Amino acid sequence: MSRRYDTKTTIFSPEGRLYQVEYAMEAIRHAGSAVGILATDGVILATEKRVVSPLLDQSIISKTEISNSEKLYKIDSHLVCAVAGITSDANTLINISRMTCQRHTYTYGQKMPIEQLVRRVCDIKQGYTQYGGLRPFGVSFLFAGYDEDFGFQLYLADPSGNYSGWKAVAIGTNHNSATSMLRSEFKINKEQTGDNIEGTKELNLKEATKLVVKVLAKTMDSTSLTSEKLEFSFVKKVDGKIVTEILSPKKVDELLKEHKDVIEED
Amino acid sequence: MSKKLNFLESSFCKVLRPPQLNLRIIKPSSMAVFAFVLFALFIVFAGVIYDLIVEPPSIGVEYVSIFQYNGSTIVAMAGKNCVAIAGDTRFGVRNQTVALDSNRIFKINNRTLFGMTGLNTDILTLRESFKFQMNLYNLEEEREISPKTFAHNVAQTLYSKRFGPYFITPIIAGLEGEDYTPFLCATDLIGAMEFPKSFVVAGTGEESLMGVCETFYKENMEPDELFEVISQCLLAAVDRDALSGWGSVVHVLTKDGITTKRLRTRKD
Repeated sequence: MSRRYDTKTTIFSPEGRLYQVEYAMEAIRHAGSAVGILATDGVILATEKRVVSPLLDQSIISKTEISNSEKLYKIDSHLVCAVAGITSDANTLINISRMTCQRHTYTYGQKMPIEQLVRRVCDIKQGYTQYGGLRPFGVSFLFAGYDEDFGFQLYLADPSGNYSGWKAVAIGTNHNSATSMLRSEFKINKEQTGDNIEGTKELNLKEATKLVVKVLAKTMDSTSLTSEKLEFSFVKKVDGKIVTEILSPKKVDELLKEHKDVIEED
Repeated sequence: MSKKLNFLESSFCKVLRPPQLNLRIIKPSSMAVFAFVLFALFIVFAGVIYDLIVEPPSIGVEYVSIFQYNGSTIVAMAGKNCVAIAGDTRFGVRNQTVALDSNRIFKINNRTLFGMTGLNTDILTLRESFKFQMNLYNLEEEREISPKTFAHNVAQTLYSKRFGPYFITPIIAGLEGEDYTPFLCATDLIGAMEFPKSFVVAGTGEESLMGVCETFYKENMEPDELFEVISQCLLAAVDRDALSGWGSVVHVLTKDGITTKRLRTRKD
């Protein structure tokens, strides 16, 4: 039944669904996982690499500090994004995001506010679901950044063009188990808060990092966590200045060693 | 009547004798006379119109070229594995000084300094434009641009406005490569590049600067001596230029970093 309504993006099915968009979201579910957590003093993004082969030429990474990451990209000095899905689709949108940020800075003399950028990318993605006859982008983004008006922020933008801000989010393979782990960690019991509202915990960046490592350890397919399979990125304030860092493999190994007690728990 | 003439004849003509001029009496045709008068009139009027257009009557001249609207001076010199770039900090509009702290020398990265003279609005716009391009370069290449590549970028940006140019004269000073070889580049307003080895000058004070630099420059100066030489050259030149001065800034770039010093100049 659905076969008659899924070849074009621009038509609804009788149940009111856009099948192409849903198939695009399905593509994300099979991609390498990405987790993001918003802390009080920063944002952390972690991703699982898919293309891991000893035949990859990694010589340039050892020579310089170039991160050469597969799924984490810097958009501007205050904004990083993690990609889940078709990387080539992501590259187009990342180029557009970078140009958009610079154009905003050129016109207004300030860093582009995160939500404005996310909205812009999502408007482009939505365009591909409504007109043009082209397929949607098969990529979800996790945008993490800082601006002066709203502080640290974390957004998820999916192929349909929807976006929302999250305290913690997981996309890609095993995102259901990752999300449920994150939810249980973040929930505070009513007794603990003191008042009668069920809230969410406020984590600082160190605790958030620990949580991310724990979640990845539980949900990743492979048994060992090394810099070969994982990438990390931070947005934080250092000496009053905003710093976005995509960790080099050496630093990832150090970080994993620091939190290895969490990994070895299970 | 005849009596009067007789009197004249008798008094003057007796004493004075008219000279013997053997003049040929020219009797031109009336058309010829008309043509001559018309031609003379044409010459006179054309001359008047030419004077009014080429040199219109005025009391003095405000500025000869658009480069003198704001006025500024920059000099860059190369030493031994170091470069220095210095400029004045006056921001003026014609003959009025508006601000004393306008910065025209910008850091592109740890290896490259970029200064511009000329129309201030173009300086500010191009500063933003190059920041735009450099941010994208850093994000895409994941490394810093080398001075030579940046100089070519500047030249291309300026040439892209070949028929409606930016009124600036840029100077790029940096340290190139692993050996930190000094690199100097100056271009004109449409991007014709020059790569001198010694020093480069630009701005309203460039003529006096050229002379002073030529005298005091020597090769392979260490950073301290380079700082002294470039400071003295700049100070001497801006003192003589009405449109530059009111404070100056000197940057010395070595492999250890950039040192910046501000110098006092004459406040006039």
